Amino acid sequence: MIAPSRPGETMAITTTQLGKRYGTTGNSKAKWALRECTLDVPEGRICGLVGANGAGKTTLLKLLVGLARPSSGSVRVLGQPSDTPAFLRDVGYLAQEVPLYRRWTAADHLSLGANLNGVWDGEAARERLQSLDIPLDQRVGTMSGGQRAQVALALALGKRPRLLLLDEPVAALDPLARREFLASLGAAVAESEGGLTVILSSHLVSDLERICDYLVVLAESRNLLSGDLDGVLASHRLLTSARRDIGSIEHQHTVLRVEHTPRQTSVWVRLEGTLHDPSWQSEEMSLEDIVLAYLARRPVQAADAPAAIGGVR
Amino acid sequence: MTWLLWRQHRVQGAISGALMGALSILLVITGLHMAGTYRTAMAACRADGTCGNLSLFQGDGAIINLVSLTIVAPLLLGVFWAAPLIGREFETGMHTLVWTQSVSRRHWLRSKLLLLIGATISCSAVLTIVVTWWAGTFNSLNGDRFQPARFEIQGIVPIAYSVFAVSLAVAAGALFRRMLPALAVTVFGFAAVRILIDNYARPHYLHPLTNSLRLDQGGSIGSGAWVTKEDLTLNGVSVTGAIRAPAGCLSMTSRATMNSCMSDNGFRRLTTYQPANRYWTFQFIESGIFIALAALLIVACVVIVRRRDA
Repeated sequence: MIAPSRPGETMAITTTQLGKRYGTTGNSKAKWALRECTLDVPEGRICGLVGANGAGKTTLLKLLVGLARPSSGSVRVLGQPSDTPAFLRDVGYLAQEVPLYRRWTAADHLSLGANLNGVWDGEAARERLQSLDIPLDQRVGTMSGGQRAQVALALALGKRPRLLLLDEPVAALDPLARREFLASLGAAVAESEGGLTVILSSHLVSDLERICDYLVVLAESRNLLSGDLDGVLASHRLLTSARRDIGSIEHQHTVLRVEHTPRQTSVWVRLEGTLHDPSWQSEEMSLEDIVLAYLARRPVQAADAPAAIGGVR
Repeated sequence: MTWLLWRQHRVQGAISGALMGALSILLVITGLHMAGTYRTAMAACRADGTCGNLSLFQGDGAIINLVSLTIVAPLLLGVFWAAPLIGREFETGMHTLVWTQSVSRRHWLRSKLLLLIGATISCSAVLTIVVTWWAGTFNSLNGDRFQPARFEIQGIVPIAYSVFAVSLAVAAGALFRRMLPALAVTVFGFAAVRILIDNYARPHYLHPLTNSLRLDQGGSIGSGAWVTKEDLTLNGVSVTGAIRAPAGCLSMTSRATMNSCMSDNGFRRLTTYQPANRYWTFQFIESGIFIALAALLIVACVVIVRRRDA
């Protein structure tokens, strides 16, 4: 079993059967962008949100920050439902497009933060940008993508949020800018001493592996896996043996993928307890392999995913 | 929010203020000049009886055209102020930045709309006051104030038109979330509503008066009235098609005696008109219609912004 959280932890985020459908109700073209998503993220964690494009990552983050309203289910953020504007004080959000006023300077954006937030740490935000050699009086439209992302991050952190939601902030950045961005983020988390929860969506698993300690996998608009990163790594195995039937494994554990060659059987599996059969050779899976195993599951299998989640949580 | 509004709209405000200032100065100078010329010319022409054709000042044609062009001022406010106010925020995704600070969506929208409506009323009020004052001399020279080119740029209706135009543009921006369709709806929507009201509603605000007169009598409906129809009647029935004058009248030598003869045989001129003293009533009715339409659009805008997902 993957423990979803350590005992005694309070949750930064709790969603219950959360769903979002775009298009009018009753319209056959209406499409679920997210469905039956039930997950918890404990406070103080850095949570990676992984999934293919269109898996519902952006929708989930928008629901969490109140930019979209749920079609079904409910969300609690920092103990409050997200339809009350009061929770906004404690939440920082950075959208995928990194929206900034292109003709404004970085300093203008910090003034915006100071004027639109009750709590505002302008000094820290300025220091953050100065330490990165980002000129405060330069128009952001003339800055590099990496610098713009840093300005947006400084703006999101300036309100001293308890929850920071980042929607693919590094997707468009070059590798160096990406590393700098993640370093800034790591520094901010360290400074907060456990007072800041981060949810970071990305399809770059290697980035998440470096910084995250919690993982949520979304595919086909559903939540397939959520849990502590160490637990996730510990509970997934690639089992190999001479070609054989996998009935005994399927009975006890969750099989993600099976491959039979004439001589060998390979099973990618989530262990739901100890593995008793010593005839299987057991290998650890990398995080990338684990994520890929979930994302590559056939739609037929994806359909029974909610049941599998029940086993995880 | 005050800071955000100031930072976002200060350039627009400065440009609009400069344009308004320049136009006001121009109209005040030419208006004073025109009034002076008018007084002198009236004094002179009364003395020698040549009051038929007054040229007020050199180049007055351009200024008159400029004043007539203020008929598009509401549309300019809609296009340059209102459509981008919310529409461009949506188009560039900036609403997600502002809506995730600690200010509620509702507060943001209310502040923006108050600024827009307040600035629109102030700006169009200054414009219409200057234009109405400038046109005072002009009106006393040339007939009725109901003429479309005057009714629509003087008095209080320009303010109502402006409030309507900006409400239409801001609601279109909220609905389409893109500038181009919002601008198209603003321009065509505003023009369509104005044309419909001009042609089909305004003549019917109040039941018109009629006046039946002998052909040889002068008009007695008062100056400045809005004549909507003139008919020739025979014994109270409107004459259509060819006029069959009584044989006895055809031999008349002068037009005056012929008119007199026709009148004796039952011909009358029937004038349908709105009297001059209804001018302000018409201004208020027309303004009321546009303000009511604007209120509906603002409500629609608020509902769209608050209900829809970002």
